[in-house]
Amino acid sequence: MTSEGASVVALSGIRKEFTGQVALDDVSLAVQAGQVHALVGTNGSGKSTLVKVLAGVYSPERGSVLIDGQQVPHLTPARATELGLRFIHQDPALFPQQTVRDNISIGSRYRGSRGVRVDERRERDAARRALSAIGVDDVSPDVRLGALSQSQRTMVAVARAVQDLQGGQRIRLLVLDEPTASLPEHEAERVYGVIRDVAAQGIGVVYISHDLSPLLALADHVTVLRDGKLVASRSSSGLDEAALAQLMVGEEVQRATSSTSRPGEVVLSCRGLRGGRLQPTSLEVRGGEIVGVAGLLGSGRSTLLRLIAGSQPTDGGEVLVSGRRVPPGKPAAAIAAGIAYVPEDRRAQAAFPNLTLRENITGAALSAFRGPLRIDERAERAAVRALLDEFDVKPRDTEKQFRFLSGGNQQKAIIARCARLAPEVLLLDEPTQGVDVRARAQIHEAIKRLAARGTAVLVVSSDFGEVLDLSDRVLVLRQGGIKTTIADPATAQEQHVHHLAGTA
Amino acid sequence: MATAVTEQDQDKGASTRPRAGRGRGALNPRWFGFYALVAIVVLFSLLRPDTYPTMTNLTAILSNEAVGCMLAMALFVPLVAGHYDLSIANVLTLSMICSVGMFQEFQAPIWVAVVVPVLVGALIGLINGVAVTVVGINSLVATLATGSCALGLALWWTNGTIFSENVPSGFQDLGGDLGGIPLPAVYAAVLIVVLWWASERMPVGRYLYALGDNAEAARLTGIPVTRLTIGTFVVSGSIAAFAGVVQAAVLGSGNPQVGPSLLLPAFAAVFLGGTILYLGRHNVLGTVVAVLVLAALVGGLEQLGVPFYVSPLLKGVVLLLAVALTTGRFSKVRSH
Ligand SMILES: Nc1ncnc2c1ncn2[C@@H]1O[C@H](COP(=O)(O)OP(=O)(O)OP(=O)(O)O)[C@@H](O)[C@H]1O
Ligand SMILES: [Mg+2]
Repeated sequence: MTSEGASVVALSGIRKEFTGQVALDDVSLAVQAGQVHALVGTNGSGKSTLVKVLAGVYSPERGSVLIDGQQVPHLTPARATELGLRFIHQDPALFPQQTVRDNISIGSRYRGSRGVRVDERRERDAARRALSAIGVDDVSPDVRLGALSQSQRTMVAVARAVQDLQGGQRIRLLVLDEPTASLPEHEAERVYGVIRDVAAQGIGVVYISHDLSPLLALADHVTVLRDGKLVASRSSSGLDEAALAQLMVGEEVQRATSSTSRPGEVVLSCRGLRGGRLQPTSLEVRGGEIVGVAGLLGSGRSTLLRLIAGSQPTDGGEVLVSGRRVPPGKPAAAIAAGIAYVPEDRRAQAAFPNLTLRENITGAALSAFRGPLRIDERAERAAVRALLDEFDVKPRDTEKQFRFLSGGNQQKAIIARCARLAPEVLLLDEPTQGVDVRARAQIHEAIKRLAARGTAVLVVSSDFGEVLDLSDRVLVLRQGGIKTTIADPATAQEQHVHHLAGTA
Repeated sequence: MATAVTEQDQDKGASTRPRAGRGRGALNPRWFGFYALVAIVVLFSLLRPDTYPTMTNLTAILSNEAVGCMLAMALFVPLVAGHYDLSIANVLTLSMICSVGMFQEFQAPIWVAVVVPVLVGALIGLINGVAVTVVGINSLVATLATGSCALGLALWWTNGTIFSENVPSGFQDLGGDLGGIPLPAVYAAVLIVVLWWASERMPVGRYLYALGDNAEAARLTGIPVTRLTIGTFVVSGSIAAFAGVVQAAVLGSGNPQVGPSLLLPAFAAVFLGGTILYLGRHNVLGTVVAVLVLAALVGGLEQLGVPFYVSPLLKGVVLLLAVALTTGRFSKVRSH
């Protein structure tokens, strides 16, 4: 790299292979002090792998890591921390059963305490300071992390990573791997604020996201990866979203065409459904119709889907599929009734991380290949391969362990699993979280294809633009009830939805 | 575990509120273990006022349970980091044999008979740790196997008999008492204090709990996962071996039949301990209370003259209940 002299952290000529697959091939990257360096690329292009090389989690087959121009031969996570590199990995490394305080202090190695005793008071103060420094005041340091919402957890991870800003230790680089993937817009703003602050203090920032427009607004420099290779590394000025998307994908990205299917009979109907956060709610979705659900965190949108899918017990009301009543609180009964559900938290609720991609996709229903005594694996594999093609899951390796897939590809595979069931009702909670521009269009296509086959679709997303794009009709949820229905989303303004939902 | 993350989508701020239906203050379930202990003691004191609430009975229980308590501690340490050590009971056996064997075969001085077995235990722990971390064998399998090897060695050395020759009285004094207080209970108490401090108050304790919670996250945050895991097994092996030395001193002999029956009570205590003081979290003091609950219960039933086979039956039932309460369906903590 030409500018190596001034860069705080640089990677040069990195190559990383996993069994039978080159994840990174001769990739170089240089981050200057105070620079916001965006790293973009489609799902599976190697971004997280690059981050893990930088963190000392993976050791590359070739290439080197330079810090202040000095080569660091054997980087380990502990060494990286010592050198002032801080990370928020894509699966933030948090401990759900421990308190927020401990989650934060573990990152600092209990610096406020001496070796033989944890000074609770000082650690608590440090945690509180770290949280309030990034503008989070609604999280008590003493609660269990597992009791927090997804976005609160993200903020804890951010607080842990940047706590040393007040602590005097020198930080060189902060890396955030899709920190905002599961955050609604106004929460994401807080993360952007932190990024700006950190960069203003002369710390280099590497920022990964699939949300291109805020990313372009933040970034000074953009590096684009495609299939593990570096395709561009340039200043962000003069780059617009479309041009960036094209660099990532290598071709022009088609926006999903709007749906043309004609809604048929009512397939899904809820009558006075209530439970958890949801007030009694009634709604109907016709076959072939895509109904969007817009709402803020806490509006009951995910609860609504969980109640229909039977993954949470109801307090009253009923769910009918094609006029037949579905027993409440039983996922198996819901599936038998033709309801497929893509939950919000993929890792905890949908994925079998140690099983293969094939098993993850077919696990929900094996009857197609099941003889009386055995599973016909050949037929199974062929069916899965067809689905991988249809949903463009990469790599097309049916036998790869699920946890080794990149985040976006895992999401596509879960949707493929549901599509395979040919459900009458499809429930999607944040279907495009962590998914790249092209995959997002592909997932939208797939949803529309399913709708065109007569499936009733109910989709929740924090991205109101997505909801408006995708849906034939939008329900706006607020404080556990349906506030209004937007009958014609094609002409509605995103700002208007924000207003109805209660943000702006 | 999966259930822990289902509901929080919209629980903004709800986290600081106590969960409905959960008792507060003195009614909090975390104290129930203490109440059970008191209730058991009171009940049997009423039923057997002459023999149960006596100093003799108390010291008998304390010295009997000291070894079991130490073994529970040996199980506890790796369990915090998320690993089972099933070899401890057989390590205890091997250590007893080694200890008495030092006298019978080599006429060794007392300190040798204490130090050598502990080193042997530490070595087995090291093998366990390396097998689990470096080689990557599931801890249940690895420690089941090494435990079997340890028992095999003990049987090979003794040829199935009991070692009891040349045991100096100085060694047996180590298992005696000092001013009425049984020494084994003193050893156990020291061990308890040390482990309690290390697990609750030292950073290393936090790392271990974090490791048990999410090993991958621990690795990513730069916690020395391999070293810590091996460390827990070495500590566990050493404690189990020390418990074996104490058992040898108490009995004045080395009997290869003693160890195996101690494993299940240790499990019962550690899991029951996970429901006391800190719900759903293995902890030292809870484990100690659990040991006492079990001892008071079994001791009382024996005084009532219930048959000998009731004790293992009871411990099995308690283990099931304890696990149901810590991690199972009735857990108040995990299923948020
Ligand atoms: N530990 C691993 N073992 C085998 N293959 C892996 C492993 N980690 C990553 N891969 C593969 O390397 C490729 C790059 O993955 P990576 O996670 O870096 O992608 P990414 O750019 O971060 O994608 P996303 O945007 O979806 O998060 C993927 O094809 C993935 O399947
Ligand atoms: Mg990634």
